[in-house]
Amino acid sequence: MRILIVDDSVMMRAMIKRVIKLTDVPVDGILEAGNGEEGLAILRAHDVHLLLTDINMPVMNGADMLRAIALDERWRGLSRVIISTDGSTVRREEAASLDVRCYLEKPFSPEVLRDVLTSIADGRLAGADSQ
Amino acid sequence: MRSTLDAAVGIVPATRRHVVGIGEWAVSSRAGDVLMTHGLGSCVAVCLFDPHTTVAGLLHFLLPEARINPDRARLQPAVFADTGIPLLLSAAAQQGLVRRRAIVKLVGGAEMVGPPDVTFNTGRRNVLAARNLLWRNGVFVARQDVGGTAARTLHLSVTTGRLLVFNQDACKEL
Amino acid sequence: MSSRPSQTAGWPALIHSDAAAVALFDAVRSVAERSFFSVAEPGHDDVFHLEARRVPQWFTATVQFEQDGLAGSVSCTVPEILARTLFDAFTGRDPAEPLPSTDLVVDVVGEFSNMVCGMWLTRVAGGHAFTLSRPRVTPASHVGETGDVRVLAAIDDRPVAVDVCVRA
Repeated sequence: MRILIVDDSVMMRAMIKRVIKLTDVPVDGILEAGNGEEGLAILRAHDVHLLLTDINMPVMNGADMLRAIALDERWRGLSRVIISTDGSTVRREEAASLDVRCYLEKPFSPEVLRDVLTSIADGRLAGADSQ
Repeated sequence: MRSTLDAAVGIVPATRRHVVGIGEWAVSSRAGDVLMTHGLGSCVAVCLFDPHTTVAGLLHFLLPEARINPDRARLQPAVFADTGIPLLLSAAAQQGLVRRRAIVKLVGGAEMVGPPDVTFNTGRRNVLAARNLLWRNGVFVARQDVGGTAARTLHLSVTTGRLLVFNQDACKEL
Repeated sequence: MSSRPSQTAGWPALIHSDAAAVALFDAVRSVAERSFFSVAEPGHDDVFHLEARRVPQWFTATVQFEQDGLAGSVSCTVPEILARTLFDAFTGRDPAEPLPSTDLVVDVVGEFSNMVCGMWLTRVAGGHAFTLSRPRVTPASHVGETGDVRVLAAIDDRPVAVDVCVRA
């Protein structure tokens, strides 16, 4: 599974990467971006299976990036997770309409992120087995 | 009473009990052993188990940081979370525990009744210190039974990793 | 965006309510404990100022927010020594590893403030989405002016001030 982390905080990306590396999910690459525009550029250039994105970012926020992703057929199979401080009802409803699989509110413990990763990885593996 | 509790945790006459006191730790890979500790008030017990190699470890620490008493930390590192947890992990690794597989549970961290208007929050500090040190050492916490105001006792089976926590009159498997 | 006038119209009064201050401290505590494994306790005026006088260097991390036409900022002022502790806790840095550069520590302080602001707004802004600026972190020699709302805290026994300012 190749994972893309999009967050404007370098150290938040580092923390998420650490959790990924400590979790028992098969990962063959972790990519990073600092905003939605960079995120889309990486998605166009690489085959990514899981997107972990913040909402509030400069240049292009996470919601706009997710809207662009939802409009493009090539990313139909991309698993999307929001990791954001914004836990408002409006954002959550918006996320649901953009095929976001999980909405993780900051602050979160490492274990909570680990559980999200494991459940997505299990879902992907189950999907592969059933084909 | 004791035979009922023993049966609950799987203690049979040939079982070895390792009783871990405050500021102590134990690791075992011997089938049939039980690691146990009593009087977990504001102290926290860190319980480890590797289901593949059946190695179990137990640390009962009293305070978060060794810097408040470096002399004591040198003599009894298991008194403090930041010296005791690395010690426990290292000792367990020597007996075959692999961190990535380790099932880690925390018990204790109660707020024991003290003088009025004085809240040291020792129990909460200890729980956070344990989580901090485990994260630093690349280990996730699977379950925890912490907080409250009553002291706990626990039994950890080396054979199965089964952890029983006794809190006042209740007993539960964590 | 759906309009919930009663919620938005209550904003100016809500900011100055006890409930908003309580929610602000709760946000500080939740952020400190969940992501930074640090104890946060309510700060007391006299103790805070006594402790604060002993702090030679601070960081102030400010996040601007906008929500349905209302705007303001949340600033967290923390001692530099606490900033480094927060860095270690957040990243899992081992003391044996090389010290991080100041810009990485600043990033973590900014993220701390970002989380406090976001969590607080989620609680008090009732369902409305909001936008947050990138945190701006500046060094300071002392704690700045009190905002429209100020909450004092002790995080790992170090004095911390959190201020909310609302722009008309």
